[in-house]
Amino acid sequence: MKKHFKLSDYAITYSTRAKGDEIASALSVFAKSLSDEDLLVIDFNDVEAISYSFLDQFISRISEFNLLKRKEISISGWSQDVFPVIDKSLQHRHCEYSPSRNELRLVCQSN
Amino acid sequence: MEYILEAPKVFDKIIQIDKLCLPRNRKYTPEDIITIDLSNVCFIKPLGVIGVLLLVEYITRIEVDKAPLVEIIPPKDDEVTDYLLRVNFISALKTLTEWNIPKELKDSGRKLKPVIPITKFRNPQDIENIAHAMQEKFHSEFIGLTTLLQPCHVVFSELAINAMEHANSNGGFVLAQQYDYIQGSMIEIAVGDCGIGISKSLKQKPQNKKLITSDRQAITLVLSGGLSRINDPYRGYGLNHVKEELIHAPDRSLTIRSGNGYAILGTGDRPYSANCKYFPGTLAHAVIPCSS
Repeated sequence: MKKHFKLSDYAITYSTRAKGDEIASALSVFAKSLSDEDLLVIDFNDVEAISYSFLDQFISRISEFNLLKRKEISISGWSQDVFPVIDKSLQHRHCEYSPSRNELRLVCQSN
Repeated sequence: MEYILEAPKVFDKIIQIDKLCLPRNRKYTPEDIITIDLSNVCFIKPLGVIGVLLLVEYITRIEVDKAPLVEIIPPKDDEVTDYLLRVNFISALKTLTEWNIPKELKDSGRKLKPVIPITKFRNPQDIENIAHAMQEKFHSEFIGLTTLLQPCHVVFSELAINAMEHANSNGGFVLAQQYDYIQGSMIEIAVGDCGIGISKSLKQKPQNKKLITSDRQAITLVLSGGLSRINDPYRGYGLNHVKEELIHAPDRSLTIRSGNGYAILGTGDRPYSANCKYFPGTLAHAVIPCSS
């Protein structure tokens, strides 16, 4: 079952690495409440602006928390404006993902 | 001794910050007076406004028993005075030290809608709050420009984060505004800090020392990405992201001044860089046409 972690529950703009740490911690707590069969979806709906530093820190931390090793983890709901930041940040951290029109499915982290 | 720093009549270029440079390695006494003369200014861009604030911050950091008196002569031009009031210049000055403000400058009652009036940020939460306020402005007062929120957000966030995380400063100042020039409407964002500057920051990592030969080269290197004071191969891309955000759309530009150097980056261009007089900290100025 898909379980959405909605970023917009926390803010609709994200700037700093400190915020990246904070949201990754919140995601970690959320992920612990899921069963192995659940699909974790990081939901960018209603998020209007993000910085590269925020997202880089967020990805770095969820990687440290081993969240990327979950069987199923997806990103969805991005706007056209923030997509380039998501795309470049995942590439920057060597995150492999399979894109579809509305969803990015993270496969694993290569390093 | 009195030092008079006379701001240029049209204050719109980063090199003109030279006019605000104090002699280096000078030991000041309380008998010294530093006068920042804005009286002849008839036009000033955000980079000039933030530059004046960085200078004042630099002076007010001198030890109390050695600190010179600092005096600002306001512009004779009413429109410039009006502008400075509307972008909260007086309030920003008050965050640095106490001033005797002439009565006629105290209560403007005027209204301008800068994207971000001059705001001091001291910690990551301040940056988040400013970014959120900017988002609200785009939805209330700049409705037709909402597609520019994301590039403005990246520019502000990455520049402010650098000031917070890498400059050994106690934060910095930001001013963002929309202005209708003859060539079209532009959003301008200036971010400055009174920290150690880009070159010194990078040299905190020993391996970087041999790579950096000048302040201007340090600026061009960080714009290329991958160079940081932090020992992490994934770090050091903040200014590169700002550059990438700006160079792929027409007529956007980025100017950075730090230490003895500055660099100017236009659309699709390699940066032009040059040496200049020493000015404390780092000052960045981005221009985004509203039509882009």
